[in-house]
Amino acid sequence: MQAAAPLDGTPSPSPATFAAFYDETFDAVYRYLSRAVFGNRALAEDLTQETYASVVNAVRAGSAGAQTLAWVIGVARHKLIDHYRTTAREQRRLSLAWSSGIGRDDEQLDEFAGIDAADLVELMRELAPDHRLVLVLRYLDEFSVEEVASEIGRSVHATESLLARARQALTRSYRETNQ
Amino acid sequence: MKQHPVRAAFEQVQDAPSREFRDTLRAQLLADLVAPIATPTPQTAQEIPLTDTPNNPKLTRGRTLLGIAAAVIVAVGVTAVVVSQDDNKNESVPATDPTTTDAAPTRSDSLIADAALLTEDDLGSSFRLVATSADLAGEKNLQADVPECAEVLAAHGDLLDIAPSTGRRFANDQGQALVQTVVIFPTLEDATRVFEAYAADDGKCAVGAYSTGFDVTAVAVDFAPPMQYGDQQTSFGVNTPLDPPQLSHFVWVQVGRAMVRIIAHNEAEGATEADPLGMLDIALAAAVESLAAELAAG
Repeated sequence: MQAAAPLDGTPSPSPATFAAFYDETFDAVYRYLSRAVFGNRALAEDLTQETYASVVNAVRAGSAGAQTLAWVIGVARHKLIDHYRTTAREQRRLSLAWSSGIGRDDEQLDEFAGIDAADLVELMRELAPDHRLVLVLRYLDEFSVEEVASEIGRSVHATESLLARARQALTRSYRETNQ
Repeated sequence: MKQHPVRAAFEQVQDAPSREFRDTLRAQLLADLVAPIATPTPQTAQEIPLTDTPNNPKLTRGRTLLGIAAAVIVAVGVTAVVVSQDDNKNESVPATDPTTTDAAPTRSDSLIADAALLTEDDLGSSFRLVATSADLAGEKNLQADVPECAEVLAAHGDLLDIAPSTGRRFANDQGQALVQTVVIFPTLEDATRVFEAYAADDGKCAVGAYSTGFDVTAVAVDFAPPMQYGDQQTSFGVNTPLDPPQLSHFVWVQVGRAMVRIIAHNEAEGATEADPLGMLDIALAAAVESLAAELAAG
């Protein structure tokens, strides 16, 4: 990940300083969010706006944190997690997805071998929100299972299970589509 | 190491952001950054104003041929005339506007206007201060023979002869310039009257954009106005077919009993935009924040 020029870290950086920071980080932040929502432009724009609104609030509040690209991506990730959690609640599918048995976060590649990447994106768009979320954190952010568990506030055990079920759902969806 | 197919699928998603979204969000954030802390306004995507506001109407008329005076060229600082402000500085009109500060004024308005001027740091690394710019009193004299400017001149009265005005011109190596002018009126009512005269005229008089006696013809252009700043705002775009052509966006903002004008100007060969670097919002945000702070400090 490229390092953007940090903001001053002062309570009120000049508009020029903030504008330079925005210009330097915007493309990477938007690209991350766009991929994480599988190319849903309206949603990517909403989350990008929420992300930078939080950045402005943090800057105005005098946050002394290192306001770098990595920091902004972290803010974006939290917005993404909030979105998927809200969506999951709305769809009343969260309890179902979390209630099932224990799986393993195996790293087998064969289960998706031969599936076109574009088709895989289409299939992932149709998954339950919490399944999409763990796939984003595991494969887009390339987090370890422990890191995914930490981000979503679940045990490693439960996170392994959720990842396994997300992959199973993806495989099942592919088979049904190609029957 | 072979890439996981799910990871490869994520990389398949290639959605470039729209420039409109990027620029609009940028302007909104800059406005939020300098907005008063006491009035936070969380935004949603649907709430971003893309174009019009009541005080900042997007120009919707068709392209209109307009005569444009040498005054315009002076106004945008092509000649970068350094105008002495000594006479005005001696006027020392006190700050009397109770809407900007409860404290007794401690500086002359000339000093307040000077302190409110932009600096190179406000504009980032590529723009350098190249000159102080002409004052509004000089522009008023150039409007005197233009019939269409009668109402604006009447609104001015003698104000521009006594109200301190000052300015700066910044430029980069790519042919783009930013010109700032600050004028401080004796009272809020004076500032409002002059501003509204400018706004009612679409700003044309203030840039000398009338045909009387002028030998250079310019074209009024629509442009997406910047975000809303200050108490009132109006803007005007013009292309002047000199060699090379000059593209300019003018924005006036009233801040209490003061007014600030920012001109984004591009005279680069083959230029197609007056403000290709999006500097207008940066300059406006910094200029309005600085002017409000200096007025409040008195």
